[in-house]
Amino acid sequence: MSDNNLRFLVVDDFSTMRRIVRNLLKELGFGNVEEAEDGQIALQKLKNAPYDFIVTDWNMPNMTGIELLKAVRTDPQLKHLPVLMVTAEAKKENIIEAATAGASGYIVKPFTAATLDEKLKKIFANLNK
Amino acid sequence: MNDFAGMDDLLQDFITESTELISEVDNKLVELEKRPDDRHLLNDIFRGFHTIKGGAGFLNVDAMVSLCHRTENLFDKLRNGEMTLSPEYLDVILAATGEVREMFGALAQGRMPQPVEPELLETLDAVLRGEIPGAAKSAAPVATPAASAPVAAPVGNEPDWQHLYDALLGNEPTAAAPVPQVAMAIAEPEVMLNETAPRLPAKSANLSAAAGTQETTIRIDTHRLDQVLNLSGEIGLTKNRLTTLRSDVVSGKIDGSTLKALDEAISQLDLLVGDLQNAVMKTRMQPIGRQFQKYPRLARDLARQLGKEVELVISGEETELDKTMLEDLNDPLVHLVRNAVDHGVETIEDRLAAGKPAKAIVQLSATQVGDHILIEITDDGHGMRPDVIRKKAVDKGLIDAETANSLDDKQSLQLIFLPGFSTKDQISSVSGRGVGMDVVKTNIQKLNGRIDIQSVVGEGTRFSISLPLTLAILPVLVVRVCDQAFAVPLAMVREIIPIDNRSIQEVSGRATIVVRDEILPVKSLAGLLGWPETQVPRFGVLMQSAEHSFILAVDSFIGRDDVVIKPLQNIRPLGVAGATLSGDGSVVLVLDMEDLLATPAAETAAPSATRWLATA
Repeated sequence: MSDNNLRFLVVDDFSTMRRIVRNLLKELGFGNVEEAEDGQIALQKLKNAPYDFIVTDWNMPNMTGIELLKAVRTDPQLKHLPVLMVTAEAKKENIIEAATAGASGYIVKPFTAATLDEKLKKIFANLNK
Repeated sequence: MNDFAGMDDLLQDFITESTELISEVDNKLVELEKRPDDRHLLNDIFRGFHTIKGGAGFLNVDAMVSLCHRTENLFDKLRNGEMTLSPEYLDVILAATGEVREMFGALAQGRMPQPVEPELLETLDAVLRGEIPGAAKSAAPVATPAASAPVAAPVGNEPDWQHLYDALLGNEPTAAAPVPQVAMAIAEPEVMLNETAPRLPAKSANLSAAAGTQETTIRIDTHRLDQVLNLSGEIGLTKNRLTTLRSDVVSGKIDGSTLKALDEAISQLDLLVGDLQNAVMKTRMQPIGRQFQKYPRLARDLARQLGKEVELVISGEETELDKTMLEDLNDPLVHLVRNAVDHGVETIEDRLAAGKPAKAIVQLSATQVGDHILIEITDDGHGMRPDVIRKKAVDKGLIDAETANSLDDKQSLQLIFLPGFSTKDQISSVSGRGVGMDVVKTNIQKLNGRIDIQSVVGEGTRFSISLPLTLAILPVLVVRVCDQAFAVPLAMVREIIPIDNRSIQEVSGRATIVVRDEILPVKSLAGLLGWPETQVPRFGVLMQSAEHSFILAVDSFIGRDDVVIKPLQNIRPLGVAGATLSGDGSVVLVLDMEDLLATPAAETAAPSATRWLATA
């Protein structure tokens, strides 16, 4: 199934939130986690080093999660990367926007490790198809 | 007890980060009053509430979630132009941020905050429906019904986003899985707590210590930490060098090259330790802006309450100050800001009558001047009249008329720092309790700082606070009296003069010396300490504090030094701030001059000076 050495990039401007996501990922056995404070920094990191998975917040200064998602999808080097949107935006328009922009998954805060696990498994399953 | 067992670390982070956020939000709200249509501001505030809500959700602080959710929705509408901001709305929003702040207070003590008062939530809901609070029944809903329905809280009736998303991607909806998933996230807060609790059992013990309101954590730039690490490494290397040299010396190898190497190693150690002290000190330095952030809101609320128009202009936020000092500085600054708004600034009518703009400007600034930090609070109000202050002080029986007449204008202004002084006849509920300014002064002095007042009648008043960069290391002048060394704070020392018997003049029974046309009283340190004088003092140290300038007569000098003050345990002799070790290992007492001058001996110290004048 999923490889525990997968390299995650957690993008959120709120460090507490990055830590929460990092802890949850660790609980699920994913210890290889890097952090970025906003979309711009994330994009730089993504271009400088290989990552396997992006978990990003929606609402961030400088570059939002949805902009990051769009940028990733248009970059030939990065477009294959799974992107999980983590956000408190639970509105229909947002979900549609994320889905049309090519989000691999969408998870609403707050959530538990079990929810995250389920999402990840589903994304991995889709990838392996 | 503690409602957050096992999540202390996370909670601390959340509180630190979110408290900053809410302060930013508060400030931006004040800004918003000036520019209600600024999309950037609206967006930033929206994001602030949104982020706090997200974090609170994970910690299961439902009260905070429900409150922030509403304010977030409100700002969502505002930034999308579905609603426009009115002063009434702003009051409700400010009430909400106040509430959030209180919740952080509860969280900091490890308690789950109380649910929000239903009225506030209802008012917020009413605002969301487009109603103006207070005028509940009128005001046709502005927003569309769809948008005004309580939108998609993370709790309750959310849209089936999983389904939507699956539909969009053309996935098979995996039977019934999505909805229970969401429900689980919401319905299992206890499970989440219990899951994490057993993993961090040791941590919960910490919280009793952290239960106080003072922050126990600090954020440090990693560069600064690296510097400390680097320096301690270098010191280790130098220590190794010294160890080698010692074995050389012990084995009798004391030639010129060994001594030279020893000298080099020690000089290097000297430099490194100095650098290390600086680097460690720097890790405690925090930008003062974090403290300043709270004040615009404070000034705004107070001004509104008093029917004045006041803008607090802040500058120098990046100036850094020791963390503990920052915390201790909060109360005095709050008081001075309030004081400026309440007492310093006139009412709108008075301002217009005086030909000033209706809106008063209060400036709060911080700058580093040499090894001191200068904080200034300046208002453009009516200023303080020395004669009025003198009269008040006499009327209140704080000083007698004779003393009052001998005071110059600058000294008169200092009278407001006397306990029990309050210039307003009508004691206002805000800052006029008469317990303020003396406490401000005491607090500043505790930080080894100084506070000065400049005031021009009709133009305004400026309070200047001067603080040392840190309390950890104190530059001192070491003097000698009766064959014992004492250290006095260098900050107070203006110059050193030799005392020539012929230069001492007696003015109304007190020994004085004229230094550049200034008549300064001479006080002998031995006299202040209550010791008999064994020899005639030969040197005078010209000391200057906020209200005293005098010459401290001492026997001789040892030199200047940077010392680390160790407080004396259990005993607190009058006039002694603490003790330190001198280079040769002997104990040196560090004197607290303000304290020493307040002693009864301070008055008699001068006459004793006349005694040696007479006997010399």
